[in-house]
Amino acid sequence: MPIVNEGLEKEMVHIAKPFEAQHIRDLFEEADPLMQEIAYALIRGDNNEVDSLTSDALEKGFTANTVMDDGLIAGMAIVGIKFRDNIIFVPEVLISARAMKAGMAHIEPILSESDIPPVGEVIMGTVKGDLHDIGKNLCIMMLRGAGFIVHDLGVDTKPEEFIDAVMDHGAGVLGMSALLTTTMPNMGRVIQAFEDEGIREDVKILVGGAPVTQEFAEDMGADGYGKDAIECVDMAKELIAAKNS
Amino acid sequence: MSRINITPEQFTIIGENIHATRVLLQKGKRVVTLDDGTEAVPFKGDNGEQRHLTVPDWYKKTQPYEQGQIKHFLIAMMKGISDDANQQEEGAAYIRNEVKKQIASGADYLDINVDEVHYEVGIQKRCMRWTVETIQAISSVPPCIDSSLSEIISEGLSSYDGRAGRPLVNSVAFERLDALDMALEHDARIMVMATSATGMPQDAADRVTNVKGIMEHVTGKGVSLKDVFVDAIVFLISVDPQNGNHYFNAVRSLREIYGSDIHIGGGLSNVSFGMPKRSLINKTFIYLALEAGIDSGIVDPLNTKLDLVSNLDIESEPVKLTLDMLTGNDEFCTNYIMAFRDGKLG
Repeated sequence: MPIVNEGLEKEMVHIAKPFEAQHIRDLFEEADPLMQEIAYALIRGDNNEVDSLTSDALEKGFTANTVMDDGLIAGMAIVGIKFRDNIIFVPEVLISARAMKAGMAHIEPILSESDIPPVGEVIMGTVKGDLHDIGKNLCIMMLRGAGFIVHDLGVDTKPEEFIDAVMDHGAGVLGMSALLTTTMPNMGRVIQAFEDEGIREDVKILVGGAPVTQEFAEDMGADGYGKDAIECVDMAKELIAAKNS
Repeated sequence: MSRINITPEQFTIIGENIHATRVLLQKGKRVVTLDDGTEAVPFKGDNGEQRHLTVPDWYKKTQPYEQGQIKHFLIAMMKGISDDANQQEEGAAYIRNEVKKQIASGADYLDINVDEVHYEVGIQKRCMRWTVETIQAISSVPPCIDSSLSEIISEGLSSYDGRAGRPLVNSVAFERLDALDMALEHDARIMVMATSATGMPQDAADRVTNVKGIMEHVTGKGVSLKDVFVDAIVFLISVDPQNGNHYFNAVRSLREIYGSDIHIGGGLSNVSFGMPKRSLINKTFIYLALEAGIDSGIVDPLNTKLDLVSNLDIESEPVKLTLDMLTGNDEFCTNYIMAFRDGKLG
């Protein structure tokens, strides 16, 4: 079904990159129009509406995965693009995240009871000596929105805490954040610690944070780098796929 | 205005611009393309002549450039430590122009932060030394040596010869107590951070507890309260409507505990990050913070004029909306952003 929801169609003017717009249209093309309503309510940040629409959709027999992928996540993708392109501001992303949470409250219990595995499990933390967490928290929100189970180790995380968490949860991906050039090298130390323990191959390591670049990520031996929260999610998906292949 | 007991002259301005992180947008007004196709940032030379800080080829290979960001101070600093005398001179002239502008705008200290110039500490050290030396050659105000790494603070302090007065160390924190000894050794004033050893403060009480803890070390070494600046940690209003109140309440408590001698402030423009019309938010925030008892701030002196703050029209609609937002009465900044979209913020 093409986009029939008028509000959602108006949102599409904000998607400037043709391939992104096409991707979103293709997604809705194959989905029920109800998913467009969910996506649009999420973009507006209307948590009550997302709450009732999600619950309705499940009652009508749509699967939890369908509602999550074609409704909630599709809406969040548009929010992410608008934020990246400076069309909306931080509080508006947080309002949509709250709406996402309202929808996920219906989805999560079903997913956890079903045999459908989560997209993947991710350990996230800011490295030792670094107390910044806004960017990392935004990534966590987006990862959870995309269906990942995320364990947040908070800030100032020691290498052994990363190792313990990866081992305890058997997580496929470890994400590290650093906001200072002076703490950035601690990411490399964590990667080294995984090598020293002989478990480097067990986990894919993703890094990010303002001063981090692709070049630096490669120098340290990370498996992936995300320059913002959207890339973080894309990269986490890629790494999980690579790990499972 | 009656509740603010401080004049602009009594306020200590720590000018924040000489940072490797500072960005100009490639598409913005301050970046031009010269006749030969080179991109450059125009600035005034020592005799008022038009000069240009050119964007070097190595910078064009970096990720910030690909994202349309010109880190102009990073470029000036890297030119400063290059082998090419012309490039060094261009970088130095760029810094000198900024020094003059900040001092003319009332800066009492010039904050220098080279942390993000490069991830190698060796290069950070060379940039810190070069920047301090370049500044002290012409500056009538002392430097504020700013780094999250003690080694870089030490390098900055030993590069400065003291000619413009006592320097400031930014900062002494639980995870960086050795910076206190360095400050004492160089007769520097100190900035104390309200962070704990394990994280950022959640509320006003956390900030007060953290400052008290560090102040035990500071006063234990005989440092006078007049030589202490407290960074009470300003967080983004965009992520929590209480972030303004946490800061104001902490400032009030700290002023009550330590009296009028100690300096209280912090990075005041943080509050508006991620929001539209940042200057409106910044000046309104400073107004409220002054009421709470700050007497200093790490700010851009070119954009933050205290006389504008004291003349703030608190009855005007834009300021009322901003006051509401900063005092926790506008969840998700909804009313503020709506007014912005409707063109009602001026």
